[in-house]
Amino acid sequence: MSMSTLTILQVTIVFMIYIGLTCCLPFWLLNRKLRGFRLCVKLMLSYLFGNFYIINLVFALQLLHISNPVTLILGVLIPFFWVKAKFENWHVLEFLRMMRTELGKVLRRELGLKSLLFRVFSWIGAQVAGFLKKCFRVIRRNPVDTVLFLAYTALVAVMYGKNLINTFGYCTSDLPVHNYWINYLSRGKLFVAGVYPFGFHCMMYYIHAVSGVPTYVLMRVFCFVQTMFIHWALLFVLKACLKSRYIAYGAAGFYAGSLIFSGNTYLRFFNSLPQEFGMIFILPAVFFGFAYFKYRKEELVLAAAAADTAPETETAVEPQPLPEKKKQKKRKKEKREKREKKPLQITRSTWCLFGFAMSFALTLVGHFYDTIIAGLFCLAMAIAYFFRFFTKKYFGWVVLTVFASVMIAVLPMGIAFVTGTPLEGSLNWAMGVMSEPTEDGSGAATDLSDDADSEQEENVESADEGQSQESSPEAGETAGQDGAAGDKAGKETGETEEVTPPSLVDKVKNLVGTVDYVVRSYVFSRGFPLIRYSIYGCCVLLVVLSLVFFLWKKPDYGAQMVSVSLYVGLLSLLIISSRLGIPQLMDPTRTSIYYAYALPVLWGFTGDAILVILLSWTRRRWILNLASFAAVGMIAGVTVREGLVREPRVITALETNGAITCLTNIIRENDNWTWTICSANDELRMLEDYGYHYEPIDLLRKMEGIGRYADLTIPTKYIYFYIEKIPLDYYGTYENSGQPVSKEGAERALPMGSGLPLYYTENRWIIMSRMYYWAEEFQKIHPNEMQVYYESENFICYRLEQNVNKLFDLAIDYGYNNGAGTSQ
Amino acid sequence: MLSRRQFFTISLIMLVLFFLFQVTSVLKEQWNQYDKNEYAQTAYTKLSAGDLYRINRSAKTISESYVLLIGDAQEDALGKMVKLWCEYAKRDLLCCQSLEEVPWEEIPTPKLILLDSNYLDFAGETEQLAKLAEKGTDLIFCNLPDVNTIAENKALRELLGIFSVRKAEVQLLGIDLFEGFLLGGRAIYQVEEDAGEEEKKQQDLDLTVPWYEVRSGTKTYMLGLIDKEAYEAKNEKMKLENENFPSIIWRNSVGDGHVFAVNGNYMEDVTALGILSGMVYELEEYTVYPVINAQSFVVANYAGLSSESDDTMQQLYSRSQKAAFQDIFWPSLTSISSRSQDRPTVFLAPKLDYDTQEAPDGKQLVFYLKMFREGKIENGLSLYCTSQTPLTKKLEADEAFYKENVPDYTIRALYVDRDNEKEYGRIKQARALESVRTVYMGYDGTDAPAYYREKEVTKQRATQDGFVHTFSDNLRLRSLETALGYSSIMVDMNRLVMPEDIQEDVWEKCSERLASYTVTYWKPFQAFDKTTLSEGDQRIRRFFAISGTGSQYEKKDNRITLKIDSFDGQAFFILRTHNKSVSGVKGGSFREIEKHAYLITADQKDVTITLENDISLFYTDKG
Repeated sequence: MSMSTLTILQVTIVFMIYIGLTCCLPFWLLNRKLRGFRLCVKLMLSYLFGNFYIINLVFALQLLHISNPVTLILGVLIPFFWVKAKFENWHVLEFLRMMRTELGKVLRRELGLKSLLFRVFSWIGAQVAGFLKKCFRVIRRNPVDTVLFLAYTALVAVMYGKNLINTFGYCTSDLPVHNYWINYLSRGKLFVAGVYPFGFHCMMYYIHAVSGVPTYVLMRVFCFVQTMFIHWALLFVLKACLKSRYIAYGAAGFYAGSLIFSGNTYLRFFNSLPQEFGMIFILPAVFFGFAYFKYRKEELVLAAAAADTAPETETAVEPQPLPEKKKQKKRKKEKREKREKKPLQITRSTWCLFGFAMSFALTLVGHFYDTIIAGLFCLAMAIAYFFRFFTKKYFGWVVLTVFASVMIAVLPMGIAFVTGTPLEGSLNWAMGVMSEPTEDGSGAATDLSDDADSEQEENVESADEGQSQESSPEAGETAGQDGAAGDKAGKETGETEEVTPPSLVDKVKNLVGTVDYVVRSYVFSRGFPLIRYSIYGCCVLLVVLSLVFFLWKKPDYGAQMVSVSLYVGLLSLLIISSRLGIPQLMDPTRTSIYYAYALPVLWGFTGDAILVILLSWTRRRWILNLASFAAVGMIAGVTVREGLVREPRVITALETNGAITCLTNIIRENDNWTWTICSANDELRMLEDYGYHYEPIDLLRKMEGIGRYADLTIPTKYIYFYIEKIPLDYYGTYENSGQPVSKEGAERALPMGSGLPLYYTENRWIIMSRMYYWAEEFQKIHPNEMQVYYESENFICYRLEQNVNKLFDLAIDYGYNNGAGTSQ
Repeated sequence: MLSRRQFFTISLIMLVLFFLFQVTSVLKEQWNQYDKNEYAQTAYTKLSAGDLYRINRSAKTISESYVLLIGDAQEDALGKMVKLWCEYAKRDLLCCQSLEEVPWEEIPTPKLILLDSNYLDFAGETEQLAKLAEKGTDLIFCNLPDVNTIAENKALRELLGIFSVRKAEVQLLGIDLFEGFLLGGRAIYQVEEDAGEEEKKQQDLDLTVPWYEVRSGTKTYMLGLIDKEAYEAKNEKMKLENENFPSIIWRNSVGDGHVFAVNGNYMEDVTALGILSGMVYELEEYTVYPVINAQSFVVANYAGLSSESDDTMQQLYSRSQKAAFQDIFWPSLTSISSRSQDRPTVFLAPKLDYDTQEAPDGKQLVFYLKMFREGKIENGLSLYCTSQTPLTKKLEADEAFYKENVPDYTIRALYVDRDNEKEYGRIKQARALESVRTVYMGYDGTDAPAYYREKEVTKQRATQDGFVHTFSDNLRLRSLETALGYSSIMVDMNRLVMPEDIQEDVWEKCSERLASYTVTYWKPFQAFDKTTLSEGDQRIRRFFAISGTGSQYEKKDNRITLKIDSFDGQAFFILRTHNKSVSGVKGGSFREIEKHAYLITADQKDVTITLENDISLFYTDKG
């Protein structure tokens, strides 16, 4: 079976498990309770509930030290069936009686076992058939939506799926760290490296523990799943917010498929990282904020209307007081009747508060950057809805909800911290002072979790992505000519001049110029001046158009438009924060991801508002929908005609495909703990649950200088040696990047130091060269025991089979370990 | 009341049943051609010693794949074993008594040199040996020089791969033979501390050896076991791992060649045969060599036709000698042999004491021959007797006895006990022995286990005693199975008829030991055929006729092609590979002996063996 086929199977299985757990089960549970909501809202709520529950379940079980597959499964099934029984008024006792009766019939041979099973399976089949009927009904009623949704999904799948089936290894050096944290969840050690938002890790652990899918497979393929959900979240929120039916597809599709965006903004989607997992929940939080204000208003209006129309009642004659016992009986009877007649009712605004709370909490347990972005959007929302937010009927509930969601999210971390677990390195940064802006305005934020970013940048063809900032002539055009703060390109002369304080207009111009410069550098792949200017235009237009909606007494929609515009404005300030002299919460490279993600929302709202206003003369909805469909067609047509369709990317991994192929085969064909892989680094965490890892630098150092007189054994039956014939550029390139292993490399001295830098750039070439010649010599000595397990153009894996009762001494004289190598 | 019709019907049914049951017995009796030796025809081949493939021993005509022995192949036990191995392995042998004697200019550079340390001058010749090894010649030190010689000679230590000489002499707890070297898997020759007397007797290996520690570049096949705790308690600073234990047989790599070393006297008897085969296997990507493929179960001195020892039998088993054999020994023997799926050969001893007048019981002879025929057991004649009767007279008496009872019966196998081996040489032309094709003898570690005795007569030796199985027996068994696919268990019934120890030499204990040995120790060799001695004789003749195989390996197609000279209907080979499995054989069939070891049965002259690699990735990154 090819690895590509295997990967497709794996991603399908993971997708089904994840969707089953986080969408299907909650949807089945809550569907009736969510009557009145649109399908996309129901799906969002179900999804949020599923993620929220599972993550907190894992936290709870881990903190109680009772986390294992049994408790994890029961922790979902038991509450599920209990709540379902309550919601559906299932009479459990009756059901049990019925089962007892049926089993009795089987035991008495009145009913055959096969017949019983047939009945059970028929019932299940009927449920499934009913569900499928409902699905088909939905599809029949919404054929265009269905087609557009499938097309959108296919677009995302193609854009991000190609890399998945062509590149098997991890694409960022962060992933082994996360892999390690998830591995230790399996060992009952929550926050093994320190307190950190563990939502993503909890979800991965749950899927791994319950389904048996290896963690390293999850880390490889889950990026596809979460990227799909990121794009679905965008689509669903737009669908839920916008008035026209199809504009959402156009905006979201343009974001997914166009090449206008810089690689910065989407390359992280090729990796399974917590930040991207948390990104899924940002827009739903905002949506539920919008929805809360809307539904709460409606409920208050209805309540007020109901209060106004309630008939006046005559003062009735007081009834005779009942004896105590009779009173109690009466109360119980009333409660029972009330329960039977009126099952638990939650208002729509309350559901929206739940949704908001869950999403916000999930951003917190996902990644703090997501919380910052969600917080910015919430701030924009609060400003836009000022006329409601700062009133008694809203303020308290919203603040309480935010507080509750923060507490729920922080509670597990707080408990761990209080019980002695220190903060993880990157959290220490977050808790400390934000970085001070440097003189040149480039910012010196060195968030430890930013390793992925810098590696990402170095791995990508950075020149093509327009990352060059100062040297770009186009950037210089809009950077401002007057030596604005943070504008390097503008400062050519370096002469000191007498500075007159700039006027307000100049300040605004400089600000916009700086924003434009940074946005052009980080967000867009090329100039695209029109598209850039459209951002600023849309921000202004949205505010202006919102006035129309306010005038039309549609303040909700108007406030939403203002929120979006403000949000983009706040993001713009965030992306240039270091240049403004304010603490930099986030590196521009990271901010650009959210910035790009915000643009379809901005454009979607703008397009929708324009359409609604232009077609306000008709009440026929289908005209508006037709117009929006035509707009989608136009967007698609222009994109294709102008050659703006992005080619699906295949990015460089930090491991060869051969390495992952070998690992997959090794795990499959050997018993656990009978083998060791000697490889550079990433495999250490991948195989942690199955075998042992040994570093080549340790192997080489032990026989350096003393050769065959070292005593070097590895006590497993099989040892696999991974050797890159053409060493990878792990964390950056060097002068002779891409050169194969050679005698020249083997003659060089072994690199000094420890940790990952040993396997960076030229050091990796030296180590691999040494390993290559060591393996050749060792194979000469033991030709029948040391075999080539796998070989490709750039990678070779040797397998050594040894007698565990008399291990081979791996220390030999291989010609280059005399300790006198040439220094670098 | 029965009617006449009912009575008649019932009677008829009873008659029919009676007839059916009886007729099968009668037919069995009629068709049992017990008076003819079935193996006289079925196991016959016209091959003789004239067809024996003779290895070349002359420097002028020696082939390229020859073996050079530095030692004495005529007088020395070690040299004799090497010579024997070369004959079995069909490899030419050049023997010189020192390195100086070797005519290097006349002969191609040997690929394999076997060294007897007693014929080497290590002070001056170590360097020469090292150079040979570096250039690609493989060396086998069949024994090692004195420990002091090794300790003082650094170059020799490097050649042998000895890291350190920890001690001149160490007492081992046991010996660990690792799997993959000899057939039969791993064996730990160690007696537990709380073992009984009987088990302690199993340990007969030499446990006092010099302590050589081998490390980098070496692979160990046999390792001495040390009492770790006791050693570490005595030497506080020393921590022992398995890698520090004394090696017994190991291999070192020097340049392009390999150097084997045997620390002990294992090469001085037939155990050497398998060890050498194992070493050659370790040197090659694969080896394929002809084997006999015969495992026999021989019951000697089956004295169930006479009554010389009635008193002893009465005392021990409460019955006469004939009755004891018939009622106790015979059922037990058949049960044991059928459980282990053996094909017994029974040497009937008509009498033990030919000085008495009592004649052997002809009826018993017929009874046993019928039993043998049914059980496909071969019958042979035993030369053993307790009296001082000349063998010729004994043979005449036996011949007359057979002629009287089963005149057409042909004896093909003859048992010659140790005391009569020389005497047999004088009487081998006797008329009674005209039809004999194979002679069976007791165990002799310094003699060939199977060979030609005369031009038309082969010799087969017992390799194991059925009632005793020590560690050295087990090692020898593995060795012979590896080298020849041959073993022979001898069950000498004389021990029971004339017991030396009344407590020990009783059938109850002996049969228990026999049963457990045959089932346990021969289990790893189930792939080899069980044969009678005549069948073994046929296979031995065919084996010796083969001139070795021109085997060719086509790497591209992963195939081995065998071309067999002097093919006579069937031939057997052992194929041992590293990291490859046999997937099919054209021109024959195969059976797996164990991992990477196969018994190939060739039904045609040309055989093609298709291999497949062990390393085959289930998930590939292609497509």
